[in-house]
Amino acid sequence: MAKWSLGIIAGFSLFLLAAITVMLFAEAFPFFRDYSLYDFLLGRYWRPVDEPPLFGLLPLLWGSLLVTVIAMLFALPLGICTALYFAGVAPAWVREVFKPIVELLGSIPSVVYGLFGLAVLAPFAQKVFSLPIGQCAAVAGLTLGLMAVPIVVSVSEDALSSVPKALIEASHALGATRWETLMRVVFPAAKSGIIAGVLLSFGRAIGETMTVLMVAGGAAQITASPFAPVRPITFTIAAEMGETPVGSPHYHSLFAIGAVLFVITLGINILANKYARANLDK
Amino acid sequence: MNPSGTIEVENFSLCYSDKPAVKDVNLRFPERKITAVMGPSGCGKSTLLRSINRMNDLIAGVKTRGKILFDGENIYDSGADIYRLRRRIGMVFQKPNPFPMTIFDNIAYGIRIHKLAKGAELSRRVESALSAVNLLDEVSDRLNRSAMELSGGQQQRLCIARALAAEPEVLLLDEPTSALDPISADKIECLLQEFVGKLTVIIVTHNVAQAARVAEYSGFMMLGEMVDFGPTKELFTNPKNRLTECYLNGKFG
Repeated sequence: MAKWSLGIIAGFSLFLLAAITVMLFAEAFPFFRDYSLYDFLLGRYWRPVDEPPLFGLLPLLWGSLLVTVIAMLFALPLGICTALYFAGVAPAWVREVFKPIVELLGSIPSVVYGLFGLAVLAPFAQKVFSLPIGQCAAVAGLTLGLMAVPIVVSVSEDALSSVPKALIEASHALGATRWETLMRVVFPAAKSGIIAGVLLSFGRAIGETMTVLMVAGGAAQITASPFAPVRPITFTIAAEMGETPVGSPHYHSLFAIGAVLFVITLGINILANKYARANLDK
Repeated sequence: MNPSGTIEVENFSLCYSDKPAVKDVNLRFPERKITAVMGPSGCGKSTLLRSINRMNDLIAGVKTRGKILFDGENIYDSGADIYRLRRRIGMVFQKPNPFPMTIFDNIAYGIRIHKLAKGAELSRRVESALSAVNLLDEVSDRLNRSAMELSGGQQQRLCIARALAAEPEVLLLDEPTSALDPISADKIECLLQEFVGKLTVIIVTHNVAQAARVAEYSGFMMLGEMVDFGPTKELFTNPKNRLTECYLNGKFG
């Protein structure tokens, strides 16, 4: 009896997830009755309230990628080095005190990071680089990067500390120092696990909404300058969904860009899974 | 006049936190011969072995007393260079533990760490270490393949070759065949005989018959103490201690 009911509950949650996915694509589909897929995928302008409206994906995709790449450029070196320090260099008490603190940073709500970006980083960037407004890709990327550091540290540290002790002993027994052991044995052995973690945090960063809504600026443009405001996909959906009549092309276009985001994160997760499994196979 | 590879243990004791593991051991391991250390599980034989290359340093809360002299110098002196010590005293573990790298990189590891050679000389040393464990013929066409593809017995011989490549004077083996099938174990036992006269070999084993087959000298440990020590033949035919006799006859252990 209990077996049955658990099965039904599990089946129900799977059904819900499937239903959300189906709904996303079902709502995105009508958009392409009025608008060509070609103009959507390769369009360079997002002007949903112009007459005629333009629904070009590229500036939004560009905004998402620019912000996420800046976030990763910040979070990866910082996060991986911190994990290496915890896993191989830090004395035990330092690890015991500071690792939970770093992990605690991961439980701060994203809106708080957004506030920090808005109140501290944006004015700072505006002043230092004399920008017209402080909210821009660089500030959004930096804020997202701050959010990603605890995740990168945590997954990288897990990968590093799951390297078998026997390998570490073998290295020491050959006269290697802790540092040599860390760099030549532990890090290479943990590499695929670290890559999996990095991909997962990339997927989370590109889907993060609240922070970018607060600090990305919101201009749908393809710009090479990281100091220009951008309009990532998540930003666009969150900002425009409330203002658009249900059933209009604009309404359906937001589901279409949502579907694009879904495909991107799904691909990243599949890739991450592949690396995570490679780590287990060793 | 300094015979290389001498290990002398003088009044040596070791505690994990407050738990004594080795108690006041006194012993001289004959140089360039094979010595076996036997005893039941938990008797301190592995701990004693790991004290000789200071692997116990990696465990928090270890305290030692007494001396272990390697070529006349106390390895527990405050100025002792443990990295150089571990290069000169190689170690092989119970379970084969090749690095998840190529066969070549496994063997080259110690040579590279200690900058002993590079280029063609490095390749030459890798091949000579592999041939010293009779593995070269089996793997010569796949030096750049992962060492994880080898069988358990091959992996263990690879680990011996990896230790030999760093040109040690002493080789410590911690139950090196207990995780292997009898044929692979036999290959390693035969291999050890080839080291006589070149290396001081100390092998820890709970397999009495193995000690009798491979070692010229044997010691018997019990509850952290070295109860008996002497030429293997004497120990087996005429044990001085009643505990040794009981152990050798399979009464416990």
